[in-house]
Amino acid sequence: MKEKLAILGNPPAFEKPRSTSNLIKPNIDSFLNYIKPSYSKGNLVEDNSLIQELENRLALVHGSKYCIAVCNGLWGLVLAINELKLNNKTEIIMPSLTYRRMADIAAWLKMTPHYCDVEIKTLGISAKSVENSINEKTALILAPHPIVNLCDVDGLLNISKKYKLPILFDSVEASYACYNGKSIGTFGDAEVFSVHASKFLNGFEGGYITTNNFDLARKLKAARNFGIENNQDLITLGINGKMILPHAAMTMSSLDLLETQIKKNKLRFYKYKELLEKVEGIDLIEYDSVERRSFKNILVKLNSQWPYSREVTLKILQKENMVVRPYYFPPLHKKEAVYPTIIGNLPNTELLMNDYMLLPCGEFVDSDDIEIIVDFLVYIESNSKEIKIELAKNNN
Amino acid sequence: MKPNNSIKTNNLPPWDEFQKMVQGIWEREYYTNHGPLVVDLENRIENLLGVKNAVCMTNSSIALMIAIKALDINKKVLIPSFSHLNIAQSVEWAGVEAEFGSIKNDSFVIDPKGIQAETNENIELVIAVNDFGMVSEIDELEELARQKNFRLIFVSDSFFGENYKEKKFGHFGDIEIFSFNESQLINGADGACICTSDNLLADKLRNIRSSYGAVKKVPIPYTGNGRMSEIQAGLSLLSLDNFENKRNEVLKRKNEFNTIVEKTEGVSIYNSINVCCNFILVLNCVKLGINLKDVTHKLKLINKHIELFKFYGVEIYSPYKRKSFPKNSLIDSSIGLPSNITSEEFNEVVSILTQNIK
Ligand SMILES: Cc1ncc(COP(=O)(O)O)c(C=O)c1O
Repeated sequence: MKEKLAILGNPPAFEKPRSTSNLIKPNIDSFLNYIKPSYSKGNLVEDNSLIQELENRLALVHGSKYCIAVCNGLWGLVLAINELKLNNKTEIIMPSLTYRRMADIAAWLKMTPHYCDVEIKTLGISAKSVENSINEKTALILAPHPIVNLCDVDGLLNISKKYKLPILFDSVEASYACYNGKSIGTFGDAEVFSVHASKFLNGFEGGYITTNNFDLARKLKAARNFGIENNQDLITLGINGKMILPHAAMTMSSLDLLETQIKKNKLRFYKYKELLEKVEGIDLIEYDSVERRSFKNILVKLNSQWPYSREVTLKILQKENMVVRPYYFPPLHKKEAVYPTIIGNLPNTELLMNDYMLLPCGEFVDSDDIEIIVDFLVYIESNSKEIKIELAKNNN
Repeated sequence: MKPNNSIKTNNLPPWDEFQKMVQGIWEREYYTNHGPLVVDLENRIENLLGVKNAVCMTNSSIALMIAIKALDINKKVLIPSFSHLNIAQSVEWAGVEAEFGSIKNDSFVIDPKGIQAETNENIELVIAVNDFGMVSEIDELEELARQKNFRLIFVSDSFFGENYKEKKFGHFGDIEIFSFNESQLINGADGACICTSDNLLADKLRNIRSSYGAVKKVPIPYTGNGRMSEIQAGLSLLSLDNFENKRNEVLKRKNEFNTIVEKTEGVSIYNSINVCCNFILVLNCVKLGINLKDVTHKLKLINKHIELFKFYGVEIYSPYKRKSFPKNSLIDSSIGLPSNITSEEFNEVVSILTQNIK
C-alpha cells in the first residue's frame, strides 16, 4: 500500500478533484438565449420579465402560489425571518447539526439561536426537541431539511400550530422533494432555497423563497429592493437582495436540465448503493423510494466496523482528491460565537456528529469515478492494519 | 418597438465579447466561490487604483454591511442625512444605530463642521458618500477622524478611476466602496468592490464574505454571503478593458450637454464636467413652470437610472418620514443623471423639463 496511498506520498487517485458540489453545467446556448433579450436592452438588474418568468416557473415546480427570487440563500433566510418572526421575541429555534452559517443568520437579525436536537432517524430537527425549546422568547422555528430525505414536516407543523409560532423551512437541500406526495415549497409559512452553483439548480449565485402567503410575498418583494414596493412606496425594512438577471438566466437553463439531472443523480446513487455493499464499515443513507427525491447527495455513515476515525478517513480520502466532507461539522453548539447562543439538550447531536460523511457527487463524478472511490474504500478497509502502522510511522 | 425602448442606456460590452467571456466560464466550469475571474478582477483593480487590497462583493449595500462588521463597530454611526436609504439600512443590518449628520447647504455631502459638533465618544464610524460629482471634504474628514478617533468609510460609488487632489479614489478613509451597478461605468450587473490599505481589515472582509478567497483566517464577529459570481466578475472585467474609451466618450458627451444647457434657461449642470461620473441637473422649477412630481414618471421612462431622490433622507421604519432640508439649495430642485446617459436621452430629459416654456 506504500505505492497506493497519496497520504503516504504517492500520486492521488484523481488528478482533478471530485467534490461534493453539484456544479451542473447548463447548455451554454440556452443560457445565452435566456439572457439575450435583457442584454440587448442593457438591463441586467431589474424586476423584469425574466425574473418573473423564473419566479412563475419555480412556483409551478413547487406548487406554491408565490416565489421571490433573491441574491442568495443566506440573505433570503435573513429577509424571510425578519418578516415572519414574532414581534419583540428574540429566539430562533434551530438545530445545531446544520449549515455552518445558520447561527450567523440569527446574529444579522440581532436574534439568539436556540439549538435543539435532531432525530436519529432523519438527522432532521426533532419536533419533540423543538417543543422542549419553546419559551416566552421564541420568535420562530427554523427547520432545515437534512441532506438526504426530509425532516418530520407534520410533527413540526403541529408544534407550530399548537404554539402559534411561525415556521420557516430551509429547503436548500430538499429541492425537488415531496412530502406525502406534495411538493416541498408549500409547507409552513415559507421555504427558502439556494441556487448556488454547488446546489441542485446552478444559478452561479442566488436563491428564492416560496410561500402561499400573499402579504408575505408582497413584503419580501419589497424587502429585496430596499423595502420599496413597485418603485413607489416603502413598506418594510430592506436591503439590495435582488437576484441579477444573469443568475436568473442560469437558473432557468438549469431548470431545463432538471429531468436529465435526476436521471444522472439516480444512476450515481444506485451505483454507489450497488458497490458500497462491499464495504462493511460504511452504510449508505438511502433515499425514500416512494417519494420524489433529487438523489443529489451521497451521505454515508461510518459504522462501528469502520477501522478509522472520521477525521483520519477524511484526511486519507482528501489526499486522493476525493473531496469528501464531514456532515455539518462542527455542529453549531461546538463553535465559539461572539453573540449569545442557547444550547438545549442535544444527546442525539452529540451521538451522531462524528459519524457521517458526504461522498463525491454531482456533474464531475461518473460511474467510473464511483468505482475508483469505492474500490479505494474497500482497499483501505481491508488493509487497515498495515495502513494504520504506516500512518503512525508517518505521524498521521 | 416603442421609441422609448429602443434608446435605453446600454453600457454593456458588445454581445460577442460577452459571449466569449461566457464561453470561458463554461470551459473552466468554475461558477462562483472566488473563481479565477474574481481573482483577476481584484488584481486588476489593485493595480489600476494602486490600492493594497480590493475585495469584490455581491453588491454595494451588502458590501457596506460587511464593511461595518469588519470594522467591528458596536456603538453608533454618523451618516449624511440626505443619502439613499440603503446607507441607513446597511447600518441597521450591521446591528448598530445610525445618526444623521448635517449636510452642506449647497450639496449632499456631510458637513465637517457638523461633525465637529455631532461626534462624541459614541460615534465610532462616519460614513461619507461621494456621488453625483459631489465630493466630501476628504482631507478635513480624515483629519477629524484622527483627532476624534472614529473610523471612516467612503462610499465613492461613481468615482471609480477618478482623482481627488491628484490622489486616486480608493485610497481614502479606512475603507472605500465602489458600486459596479449597471448605472456605473464598471457594470458588473451589480457587484461592488471594497478598497483598503489595511491588510488585517482586508482579511476580515474576505472572511466575512465567505471562506472562499479568505487568504488568512482572522477573527470576525460572524460571516455573511457577499460572494461575487464569475459572471459578475467577467462583466466587470470587460468594462475595465474598455474603461478609458468609455470614460472619454462620457466626458465628450458631458461637454455636449453643457452646451445644450447653456442655451436653456432654468436648467444647469451642477458639477465639474471634468469628472466622469453621474451628475446633477439643477432646475429652476418656477422659471420652468413645472412641478418635479408631475414629470417623474416620464423621466423614469427615459432611463430608469435617472434619480429623483425620492428615497433619500427618509427614515427606514414606518411611517418612513422624509426629512426636510429648508436651507439646502439643491434638494427638491435637482435630478440626478447617470454617467452613461446618451445624448438622445439627455435631449429628451431637457425637452420634458422645458415643456412649459416656449
Ligand atoms: C442548508 C443551507 N441553507 C442555506 C444556505 C445558504 O445559501 P447561499 O450559499 O445561497 O447563501 C446553504 C448554502 O450553503 C445551505 O446549505
